[in-house]
Amino acid sequence: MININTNISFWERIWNSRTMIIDGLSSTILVSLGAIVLGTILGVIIGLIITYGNKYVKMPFKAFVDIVRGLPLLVTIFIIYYYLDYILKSIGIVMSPMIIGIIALMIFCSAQVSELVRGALQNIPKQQIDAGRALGMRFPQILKDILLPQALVEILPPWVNSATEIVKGSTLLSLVSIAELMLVGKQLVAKHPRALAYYSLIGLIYFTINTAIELGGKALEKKISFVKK
Amino acid sequence: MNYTFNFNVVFRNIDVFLKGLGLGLYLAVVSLTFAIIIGLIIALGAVSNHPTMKKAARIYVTVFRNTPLLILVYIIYFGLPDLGLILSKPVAFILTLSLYGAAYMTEVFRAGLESIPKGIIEAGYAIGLSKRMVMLDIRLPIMFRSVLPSMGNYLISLFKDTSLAAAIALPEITYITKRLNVESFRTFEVWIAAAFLYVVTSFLMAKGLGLLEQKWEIK
Repeated sequence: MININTNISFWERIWNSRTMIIDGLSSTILVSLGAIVLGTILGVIIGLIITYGNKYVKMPFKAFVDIVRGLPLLVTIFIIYYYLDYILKSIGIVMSPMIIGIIALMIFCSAQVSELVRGALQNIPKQQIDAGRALGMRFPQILKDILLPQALVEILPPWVNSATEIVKGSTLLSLVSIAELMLVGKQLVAKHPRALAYYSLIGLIYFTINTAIELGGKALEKKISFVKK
Repeated sequence: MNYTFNFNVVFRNIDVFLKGLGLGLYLAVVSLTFAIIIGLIIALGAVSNHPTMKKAARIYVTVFRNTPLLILVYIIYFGLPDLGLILSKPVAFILTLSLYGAAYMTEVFRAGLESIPKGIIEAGYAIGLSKRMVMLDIRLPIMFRSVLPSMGNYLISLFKDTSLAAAIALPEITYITKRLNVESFRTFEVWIAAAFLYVVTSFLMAKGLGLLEQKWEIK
């Protein structure tokens, strides 16, 4: 079995399947990026509602966040995948699996972000709102000029962490056969059963993406914390 | 859209669900135990003055925090046989989750050890304790008390991560639900049941751990 050619042919195989790997990688990036951007916007809105909304308005949002945070991401993905698919089919809409994947990860991301936003906003002393009012500012203005700038700086480090969490979580989409990098890895292993080498390579790609996000986040943090002082 | 709910399949299989829940909790508790042991060893390396050990600890944490758990499961369960190391499904999964969790525990322990006020440690040296005694009798007990909440929360997190065992066909809740979904076509009902089990279990664990924390709180 073992001969000198094994090594060469492994890299040759990788080279031959480069388009597959690049396609998978771009899907992974697209899905993660879409989920992070949309999930963050949704999460900030939900976080604001939970912090400043009245009792009855915030109840359903609080329930949503608690349920999503209580569920494993994989279960959220299965539920969104099966339910959305069923509901959409019964009203005659066909949605690409990729969009279903983005929606599932977006829901997970929004629950995480809303908790971060809520925590950060609650840490800001109430007097600052009063001070803003005393200066004649309206709430949207207080939010834009006083609360959000502080809260967003505060949540940057854990938010970067959530972003890597989403990239890692996107591998779970392979379990509902959504074509992304992890599924490409499985397909490669199915063709040439060298699981250790292929999965390590795929793992290395994810590791590189996440490390890049982490380093980017740290650089951004340095820049922003300078403004904060 | 016309869908009649029928929870019979859930009630008929309630014992299977509970067995799956038991397996999930078992995997989480065993993995957390190993993660604590491995994490403690690595954290001691991280806070030591030895530059190589510090660096090794940092590399370990970075690698395991930045690689998806699913890939680690596949590397260990499907990949290690390439090296002649064949592990059974539960062992492979526990090993993966332990190594993965150890990276997180390392960070928790390191932060806990570093947050102990210098004065307490110096007081230990001042009364003539050796470095080892300061670690065992002062730093570690203080650190363990302060990290208990994080450890508790991480148990819940690991319990949720056990859903990934479905990827290698270990019969925990997610795998069972998938199977019942295919067998019965009662998609909505079985996934509602699974979601209910996960949410309620996480909630009860959080409540229980909260009570423990109150009991062990430093007054």
